Amino acid sequence: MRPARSKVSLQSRGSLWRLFGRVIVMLATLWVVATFTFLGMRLIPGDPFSDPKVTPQVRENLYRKYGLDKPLYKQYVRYLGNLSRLDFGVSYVQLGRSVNDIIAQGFPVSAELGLWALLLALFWGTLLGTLAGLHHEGRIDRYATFLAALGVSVPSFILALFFQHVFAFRLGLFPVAGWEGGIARFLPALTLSILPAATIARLLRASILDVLRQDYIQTARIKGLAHTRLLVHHILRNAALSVLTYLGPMVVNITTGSFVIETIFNVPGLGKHYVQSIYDRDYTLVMGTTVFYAALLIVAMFLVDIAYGLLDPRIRAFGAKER
Amino acid sequence: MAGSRPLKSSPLLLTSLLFLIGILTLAMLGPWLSPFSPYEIDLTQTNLPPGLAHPFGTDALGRDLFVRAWGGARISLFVGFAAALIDLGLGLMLGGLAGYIGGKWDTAFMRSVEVLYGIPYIMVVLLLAVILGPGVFSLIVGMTLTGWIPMARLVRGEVFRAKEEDFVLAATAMGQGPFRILLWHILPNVMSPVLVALTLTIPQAVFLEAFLAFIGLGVPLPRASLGTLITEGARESWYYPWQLFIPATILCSTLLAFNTLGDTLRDMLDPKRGEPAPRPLVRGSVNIPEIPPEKTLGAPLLTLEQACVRFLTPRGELPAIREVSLTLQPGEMLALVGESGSGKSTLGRSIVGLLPKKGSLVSGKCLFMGQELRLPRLGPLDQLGKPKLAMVFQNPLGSLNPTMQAGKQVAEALVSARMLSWAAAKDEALHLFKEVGIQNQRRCFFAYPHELSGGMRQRVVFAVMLALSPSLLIADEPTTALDVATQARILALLTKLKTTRGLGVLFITHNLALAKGWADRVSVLYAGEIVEEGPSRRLFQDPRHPYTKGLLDSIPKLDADNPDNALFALPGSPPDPYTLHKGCAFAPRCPVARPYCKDEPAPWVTLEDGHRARCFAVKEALLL
Repeated sequence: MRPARSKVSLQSRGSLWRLFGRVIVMLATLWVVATFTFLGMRLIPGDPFSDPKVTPQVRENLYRKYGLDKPLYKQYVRYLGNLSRLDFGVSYVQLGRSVNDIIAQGFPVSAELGLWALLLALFWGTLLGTLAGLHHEGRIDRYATFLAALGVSVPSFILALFFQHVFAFRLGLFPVAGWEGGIARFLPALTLSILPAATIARLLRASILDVLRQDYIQTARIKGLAHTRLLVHHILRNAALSVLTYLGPMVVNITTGSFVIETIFNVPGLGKHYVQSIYDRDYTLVMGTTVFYAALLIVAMFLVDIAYGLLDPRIRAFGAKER
Repeated sequence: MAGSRPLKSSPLLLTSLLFLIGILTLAMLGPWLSPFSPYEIDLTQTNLPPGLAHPFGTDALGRDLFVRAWGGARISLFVGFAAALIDLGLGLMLGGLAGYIGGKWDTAFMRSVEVLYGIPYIMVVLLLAVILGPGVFSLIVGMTLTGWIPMARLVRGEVFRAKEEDFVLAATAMGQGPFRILLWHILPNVMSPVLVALTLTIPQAVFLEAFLAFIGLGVPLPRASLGTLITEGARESWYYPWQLFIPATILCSTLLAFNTLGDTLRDMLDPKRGEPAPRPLVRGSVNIPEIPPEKTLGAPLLTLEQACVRFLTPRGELPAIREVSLTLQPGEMLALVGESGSGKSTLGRSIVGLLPKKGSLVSGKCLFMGQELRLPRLGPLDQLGKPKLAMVFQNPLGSLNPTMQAGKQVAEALVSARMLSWAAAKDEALHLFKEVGIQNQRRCFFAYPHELSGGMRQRVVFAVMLALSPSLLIADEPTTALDVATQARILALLTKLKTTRGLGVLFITHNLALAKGWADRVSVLYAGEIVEEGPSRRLFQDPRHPYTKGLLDSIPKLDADNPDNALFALPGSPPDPYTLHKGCAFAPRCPVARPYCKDEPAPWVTLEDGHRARCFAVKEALLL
């Protein structure tokens, strides 16, 4: 049971204000993205219906249908209204196809892939980073550091091609592509996890080295604690805090990585559809999906930031670090 | 000299730098090294493997891959460098101005930057590539549109810091204009973090270009970047693996070299670099011997004989402790006094076995309750069911785990050292809190260290150490970070424990007044050597060694009107430990030094009551 503290009410009011500020900033960011996209759509060369095969009458009807005959500011308001209702727009090329359809179809698959990658990345990253940090300047550290440096330097699509070639084509251990059955999920998830795993390993290693310098580790040593207790409660728990700051960028890395991974392994996720619509130059679809992705990532980073504030007892929620 | 040393000391930096220069040269000259044109289609020469005429082979249209690869590297690197340099320019300008002007403008700037910073970088580049159409120009615009923000934040932060530096304040006071100050005084000081950021921005941009090429937004044909070549090669990788392998290798190794360069530079410019490397956590335990009770009777608690500690540093061997011998009885407080850098803390840490494993050479004998402790030691101390050593460090916040409730840190020690259950440990911890004088024990139990005041934290640290029921406590400046009233309370607590528990205390301090007031005996350390030791009262009333005399004279006295009590400062400064000579280390500063003091080791002179000093002058005075 936690005893009541007199400072609590003051503190939580301060953090509520900070939370409020953060929400405002996030909404402003979303607005900038939406506006940028809206203006961008007007800048795209040509017009989705400028195809000479379309008769003027049909074109006018299409304009009316999509509201393109209205003045720009009305279109803008309508666009923002749609976005706020989570309607990300339609394809002007393939009639009847909307961004929301594609999201409904592909996002669950991408989310599953992303989750597997995340779990793998946490596992590999923690393992490698801990080993390297604890064996500072030893042989294990050198190998682990090199692997991690390789992991952040080899682009995921090259890794994907390599893994596909070796493990699927040559060795036949895994299906070359597709999403049927659990085993098909392994290679895409593994490939997608490499960059975040390497980043986690690098951050964790540096952070462990920093923690090992602290006097509280010496205190814990003097206590004669068991190895596992020293490692988990004193070293890793403190070292992990600096890794938490990477959670936001990690979501971005996994999401953008999924574009190419899904394309290479033919995973029917949102990323593959997205890349396909880029190849097809289906601009409105691309823009709609881009806005969706941007919104997703902005919100995810916001949530991660808040989680970070809650996890570190030294940080009073939402950002301010106590000195 | 500063420029060439890092290169020599880090082979990794040198290798990656040379490698990058090689890649850059090939990217620049590559097209001239081959008679072929990157765009020339020759359908009679398609998909050739690497050979003499075509070192990297040819592609499906018979184009020479050697020129295409280096031409591609040129485009990729151009994008990388251009984006990074524009980021740098914008970041320096906007961040520098915001940091320099400060105030409202800075707030407005930071707010807008915060909004933009939330947009995922890669999505901006994607959007731009879609809007403007793929191409080198739209790539660079997309990358720099928000890419300058991290750089600007970095520069702003550094400028804020630099603005407070004395030399900048001095320049402002001397009436130099703001731009001159920014350019001449602040910029050079913010360059090193900026340089690191720059080195890491280039591979990011090169990486992004390849990524975009792969999803169909790369440099338009017939031009080809490395990304384009990899994408093309990927299609044929089953039949003609080299078409993928060669550009992929060039790209990956370039990125690896840039990242390594950035990492090495960052480590090198890191202010923490000078600190000793942390002790690696290796399995192994210290043998604190089981000691039969009869053996401990009458024997000193701790004996050091000829203890030496040397550190291996880049400048050579650093003798931190030189032949120190001392004894400590149970229930006694021995103060170890000396200036900073005299080796006090090193001595304390070496007894507990907490010196960095790498680069510390320890010799001499250390007897704890009559049994030898082997130095140096490894790993967490195995203290189960044995007489205990405990140590309190100077910084009470630093010695507590910031992410664990204070009470739990005490309970944990009890569980581990006394094998209590967690419930029993909690009760005992509350008990210990009471013993060390914490008023609201329950509140303190659940508080995190940062929620406690400095004095409270140090009490918690004492409680942690008492949980081990130690026989010997090494207290390394335990009160330095505390105010005078708390200082006195903590020392009173130590004195109480000394009598109630028979605890031996090695009290390390630079504060002579504290040593005089609380310690039973005092040892004076100078440059890693004990120069004088004795019962506290004797030593302070009748100091013999010129160094001790000087130290005591430099304490301000309350009746300063008396001309005899004018404040005295020791002339000179502590010696450079790398260039110690054989004789007395204090000789160069000593007012009564003899010509031979420098060359011959001074003799120990024994006075009454175990009061000893190590000095020729003392010996000669005694003989007179």
